[in-house]
Amino acid sequence: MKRSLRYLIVLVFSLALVGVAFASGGGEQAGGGGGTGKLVLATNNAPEGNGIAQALRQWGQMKGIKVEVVAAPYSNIYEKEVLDLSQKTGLYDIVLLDDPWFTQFAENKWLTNLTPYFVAIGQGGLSSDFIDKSTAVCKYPYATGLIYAFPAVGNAQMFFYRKDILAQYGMPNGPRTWDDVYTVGKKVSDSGGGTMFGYVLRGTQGNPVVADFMPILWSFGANMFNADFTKVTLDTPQALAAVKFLTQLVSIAPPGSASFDAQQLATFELEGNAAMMINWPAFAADFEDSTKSKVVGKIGYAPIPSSATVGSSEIGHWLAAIPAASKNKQAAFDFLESATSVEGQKGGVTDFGNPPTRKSVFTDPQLLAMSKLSYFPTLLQAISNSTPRPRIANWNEVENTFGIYLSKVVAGTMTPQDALAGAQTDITALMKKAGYIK
Amino acid sequence: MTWKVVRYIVLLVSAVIVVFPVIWVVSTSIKNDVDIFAIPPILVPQHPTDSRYVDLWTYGLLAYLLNSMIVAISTAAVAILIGTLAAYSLARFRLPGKWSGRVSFWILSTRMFPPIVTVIPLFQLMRFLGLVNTRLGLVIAYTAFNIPFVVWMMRGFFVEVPKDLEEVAMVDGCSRMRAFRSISLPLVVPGIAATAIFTIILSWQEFLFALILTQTSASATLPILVSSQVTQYQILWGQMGAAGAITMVPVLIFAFSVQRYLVRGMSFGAIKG
Amino acid sequence: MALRQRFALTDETLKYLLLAPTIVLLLVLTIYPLVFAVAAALQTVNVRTGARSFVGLGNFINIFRDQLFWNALKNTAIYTGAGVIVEFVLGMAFALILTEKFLARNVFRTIFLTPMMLPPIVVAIVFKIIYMQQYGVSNWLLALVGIKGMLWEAGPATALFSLILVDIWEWTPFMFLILLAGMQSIPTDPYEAAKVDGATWFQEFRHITFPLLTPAVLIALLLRLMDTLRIFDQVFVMTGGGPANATETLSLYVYQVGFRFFNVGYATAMSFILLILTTVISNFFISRLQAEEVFTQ
Repeated sequence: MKRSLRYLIVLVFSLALVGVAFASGGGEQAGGGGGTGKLVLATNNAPEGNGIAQALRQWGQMKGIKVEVVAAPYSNIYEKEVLDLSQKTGLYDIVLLDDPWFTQFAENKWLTNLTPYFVAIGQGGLSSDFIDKSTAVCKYPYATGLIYAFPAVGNAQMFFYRKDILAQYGMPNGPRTWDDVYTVGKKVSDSGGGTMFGYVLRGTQGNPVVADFMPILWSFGANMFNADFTKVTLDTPQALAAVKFLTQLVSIAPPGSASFDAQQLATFELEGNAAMMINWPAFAADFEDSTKSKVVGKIGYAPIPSSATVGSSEIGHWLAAIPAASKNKQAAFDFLESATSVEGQKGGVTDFGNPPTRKSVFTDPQLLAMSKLSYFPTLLQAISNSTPRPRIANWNEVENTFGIYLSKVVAGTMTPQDALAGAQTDITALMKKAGYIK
Repeated sequence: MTWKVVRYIVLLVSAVIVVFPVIWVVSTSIKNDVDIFAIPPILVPQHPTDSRYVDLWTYGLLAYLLNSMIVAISTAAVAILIGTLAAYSLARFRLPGKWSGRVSFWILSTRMFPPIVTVIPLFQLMRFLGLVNTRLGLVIAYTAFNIPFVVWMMRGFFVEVPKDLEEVAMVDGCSRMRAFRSISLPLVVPGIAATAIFTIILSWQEFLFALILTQTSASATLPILVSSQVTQYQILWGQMGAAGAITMVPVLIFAFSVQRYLVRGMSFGAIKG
Repeated sequence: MALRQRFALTDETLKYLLLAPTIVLLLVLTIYPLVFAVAAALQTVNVRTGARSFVGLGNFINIFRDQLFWNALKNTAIYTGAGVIVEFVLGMAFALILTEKFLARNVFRTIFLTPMMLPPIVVAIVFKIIYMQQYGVSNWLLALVGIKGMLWEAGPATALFSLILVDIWEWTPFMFLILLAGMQSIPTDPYEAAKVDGATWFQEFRHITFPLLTPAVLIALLLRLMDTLRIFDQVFVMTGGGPANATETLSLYVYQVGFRFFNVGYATAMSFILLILTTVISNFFISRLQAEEVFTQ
């Protein structure tokens, strides 16, 4: 027993030592910029992020600069970025961010003002080749202020529909108005036998349901706030009409919609069980992929339907910014200039399917000839007509609150009137807490 | 129906319930997307694909696997080393006043902290020490989480070893540490084994702090790889199944080979003279 | 020999020396976070400017008015209560069955230990796949017996229940293991004496097995309670707290408030409430355990 015990002690001890040695030897000291000239990118691990990541690696090789890519799922990249930016640790030199986060980052002065860098290369700001709405979301205050980011990936929601099914009802180019959507959708669902539905919507509380609903809200002529965010405007008849219409859509959508997410919608559509939906362009590629889709070639793209006003798509660009605490700002800027150039964005399109933000790339004949990019003209129009989510720093909290009420409406556990009244009260309180409403 | 028959039926049904999800994960990992959503559900696909595993491999699977293994084993070794000594002290000696009880309770209480209390300060601390995105940083953090468990487990085992055994040896001229090494320690080896197994498993599974403290595959562990398969728009079910399978398999193999130590080691008072 | 004795460490020194590394490590890694947390809980951070302001107990007062907090507390209580009780009963049952020797017993023991070895997020994903409403195995099985369209983790009424099922699947083995180990160490004499006296199985259980199992029972319950009160990984991955906050546990709500809404002060204040709650509950078990030890020593 004694000898084997001695072996055990020696084993544990050596394991501890070796372990610690291995542990420290392996990891990189993520000293971020730190003047070492290494560029660190924080991005989401989806095609949007992968596009910029690849561009960075290639650029790094070309210039002989070391690079590092920190990729995380969408649900975590926000926290990682906020952690670094708010603690000013300088861990990242470039951050890819979803445009709703932009206001908080810019208002807290966590991002670098890019105007001086543009001036240094003889430009006044972002090139006019970028779509106006794309440039607008990169500025703080919105559309009028200083530039804090590059528009990297041109996401905006589109309306997806089954060309073959809608053609049967006389709308080969998609529905024009929301009433059309309901009329046709109801017919499809009624004859669908429980497996085929006219419309699928996102009901998961938070971002999904709000992103799905905002275009409807806007189409009915309503909005969440007034122009300078000093008043919550959900207590209007237009807003009520919009939410009531939502319940109509729920009645023709599959059961369980209250917990649907973009992914479930795509699955329904890919399996051929849904006729219409609002969703992001990222799914367009999947529809043409025969290993994933049962409806190759049957999906059409249209602008958001109208109601009281012309339909407006919700913009959801991915922006690329430079943290204020970065120690390699010039190198980061040079890279982003190159990555968002015409060639850079074309590469992003062909290699990763990332929509561009430049008009010239959207209208490039070579790209337009590719069948998998048949949605480009619709997307360009969608972005040009888009509306951003309210540019407030506490959008996360407001969206969450609004999302809870909307989700209850979709689940059928709350009436539209009560939901709107509750949302009006709660969101007003939130805006007061944040100092937007005095 | 006799009890014996009923017993086997109950056990078999339960075994199926226990094992089925594990099999389903592996099955998902080799199915094409179309098969994953097929109704009726398919257990063994007609055209299995290894593309998910290939994807993960190019993504850097090996690095994640190595990180998990190194971190888990290192953590267990360090935690057992430090924790066993502390446990011995708590079991054998009384601190003045009520401190023994207080110290024991305080050590265990660190396991009660909700994660958010520690996440931001821990991140700041690691950043200050330059240990963000390093395996060492992770080992230090995990050791801190596991020590309370180690101390409590090992203390229980040491308490079961009668004091007299050591005292007899010390009368004969042994020092306390000698008695510890030669007498008490051998008797608690099953306990050490069981605690080590638990620590390895807990470190293998940990998610939140790996999320915060790691950035790239230089230090990230398998749970991070699994969660990375949830992209913004869709859950890559196939890849997730593959990542899940790979995270499960080593620990299952490990568990099967050591399970008898686990049961034996956990038995209180199994250390009989 | 004499030399060795002189340089041998005395009990007095050893007492502190052996404890030192542990105490130092834990101090460093808990004191700073604790100080930070206390400081944070007494402040608020403006989401627009990052400016900090001292609010004293303001955060704590707000907690009591916060409906979402009470909702989270309720969810956590249900999750913990139901989960731990069922896991305990099942774990005890399986431990009792698998104590006796019979053919293939060890195989079954090994199989039943499997679920707790798996990382919680992997388990969460596995069940997400199984629970998939239209395409998942669970609904297909239910349809075979005529029940249609169960929403599982997607439905407000069934979500928490679905998550508790997952917890039970994963952690009953843990209870089972501890209780089994406890049972293995009960000496056989009392049972032999009881048999002589003609006791039934139930009497044996009630008067011998269960009382002698008390330390194991207490430890099992204590550890599971401490962990379930903090539950995060599975819920985060499976439902993110939805639908309609039906599965939002305290840890999840704290994470959301602290990281998504950047309301670190408020989040930390809630964490303290959770910490106090856990401490009070644990104390009950720990004091019972310490009492037990005094008895057996």
